[in-house]
Amino acid sequence: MQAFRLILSGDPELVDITVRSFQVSFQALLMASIVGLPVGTLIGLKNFPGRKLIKTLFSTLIGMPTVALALILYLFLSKSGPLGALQLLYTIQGISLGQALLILPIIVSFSASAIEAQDTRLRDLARTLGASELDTVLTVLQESSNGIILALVAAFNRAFAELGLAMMLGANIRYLTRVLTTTIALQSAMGDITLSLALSIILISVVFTLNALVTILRREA
Amino acid sequence: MMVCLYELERVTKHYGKTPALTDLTLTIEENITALIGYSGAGKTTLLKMLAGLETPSSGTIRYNGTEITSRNIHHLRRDVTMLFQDPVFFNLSVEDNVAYGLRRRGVNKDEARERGKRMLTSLGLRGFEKRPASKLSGGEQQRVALARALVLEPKVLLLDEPTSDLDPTNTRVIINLIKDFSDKAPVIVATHEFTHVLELADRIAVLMNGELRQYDSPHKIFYEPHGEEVAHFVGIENIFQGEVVSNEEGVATVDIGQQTIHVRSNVSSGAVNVFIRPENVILSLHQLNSSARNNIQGTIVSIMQIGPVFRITLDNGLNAFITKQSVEALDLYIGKTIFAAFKATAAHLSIK
Repeated sequence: MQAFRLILSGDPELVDITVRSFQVSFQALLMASIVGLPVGTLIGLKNFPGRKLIKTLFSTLIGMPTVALALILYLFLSKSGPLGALQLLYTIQGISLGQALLILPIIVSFSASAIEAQDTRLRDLARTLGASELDTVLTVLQESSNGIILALVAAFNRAFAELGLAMMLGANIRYLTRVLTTTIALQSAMGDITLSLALSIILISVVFTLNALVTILRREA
Repeated sequence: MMVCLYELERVTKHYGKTPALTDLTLTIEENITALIGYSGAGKTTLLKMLAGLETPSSGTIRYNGTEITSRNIHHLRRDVTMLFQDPVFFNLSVEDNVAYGLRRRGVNKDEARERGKRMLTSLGLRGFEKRPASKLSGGEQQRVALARALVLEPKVLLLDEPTSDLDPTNTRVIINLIKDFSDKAPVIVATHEFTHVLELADRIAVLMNGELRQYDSPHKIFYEPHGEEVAHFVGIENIFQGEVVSNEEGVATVDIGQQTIHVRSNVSSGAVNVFIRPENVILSLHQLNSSARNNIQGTIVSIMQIGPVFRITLDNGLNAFITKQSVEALDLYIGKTIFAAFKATAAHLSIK
């Protein structure tokens, strides 16, 4: 009950953490989409040598354990690492980068599948109605939009709910890198069950809502 | 020199290692050209190449005198519209499906919809504008697909089996639309429905196993097919193998084993196939004293109803199509001996 009261009271720290969580994961989604959607489109549309291999690679990478990816990134981003100069370790940009890499395979793999699932005759149809090659690709993307939104939602969900990257690359610094998952993990360890519960309720609500959306989209796709 | 609509020169198409079309050379210039052949004969592949949706593996295709290349293929696609066998639709309303091509040509949304609406109305689809295209019945879908193509006022219309799976009413609607359209621009149609082909086509290309077997007027295709395969395909059921033994004044006598057949032909010797269309065979109880040069006696081995007519098969392999009234008037039954007569001009001969 206290947890609900805390949510309803609009506790500043709680709001701060929630907003940061969204910010971090949206940045990750944006980065991953900029790279992942064109790659997914390419894999979905074109038949080139090694295409199957690349697709398999990306779908395998979906299962990447967050802590393992976090460790690798940690080594890259740490002061003595090859990307140490970027000073991304213990920043929300660092976490975003990690999450972007984590969800990139989801976006590539899901969007490629969504495009592949389209009747290939639609492309011929677009062309014979006078569409240019660019128009044809845009039409196929539009036709696959449900599947692509599904890919984005699933990717966001994964980023939003993950703990390993946020913990290792962000270190749960108060007012700086604290996000929902890291706070829950740390505060419950420290005995602040009320805050943890409140944050969990928010986390679960967001994830469930998005999952419900995914289910509905799947049914329509 | 006259410029042909299409000129194909030694066109070959492979999908991987599977050949779809082999060494095709033909020119298309008629108003309505029909492509016929079994499924898998290469009709769809040929249409797709004419539509600029596939490119030949080798050989050249000229459209209005210009060779089609990857650079100008877009112009071809703007001129030519193809209708697929099973209509596919964008996940859009009927009106937006119909407006799609116009929109790609830079026509604004309202005008595209308005022109689409007029086309839909003329095809009896008024009030269908807002409905999702994929939810329509087969005949309606085919008409929407046709509206979507016709609204573009294509310079050539390509149709792949436009009437397959349609009921007679919808088939008639589509056939009439094709006829009307062919007054404005050439139509090339792939089909297996011969009655429509006969009614529509100025010229017919017969494709078999990816090869062009015959390219002729409908009359020639149906009455003088080149070779046994084409004859079988176009429904000639009487095919006899024999040898020309003599020729007198343009009538060849062909020995087909037990009997001889007289055929109007200049061939004077060699092994041949003789084709006779079953509807050109007259059955009679007594030997006819008529102008028909062929009178063959036989015993009925089968009587089978095929649609409105009966097929009578004799023990010598000859088939005749006759009406129910004739079957009754002649009191035909299995085992009865009768005479089959046909004119020397009703039979056609091809050298083996």
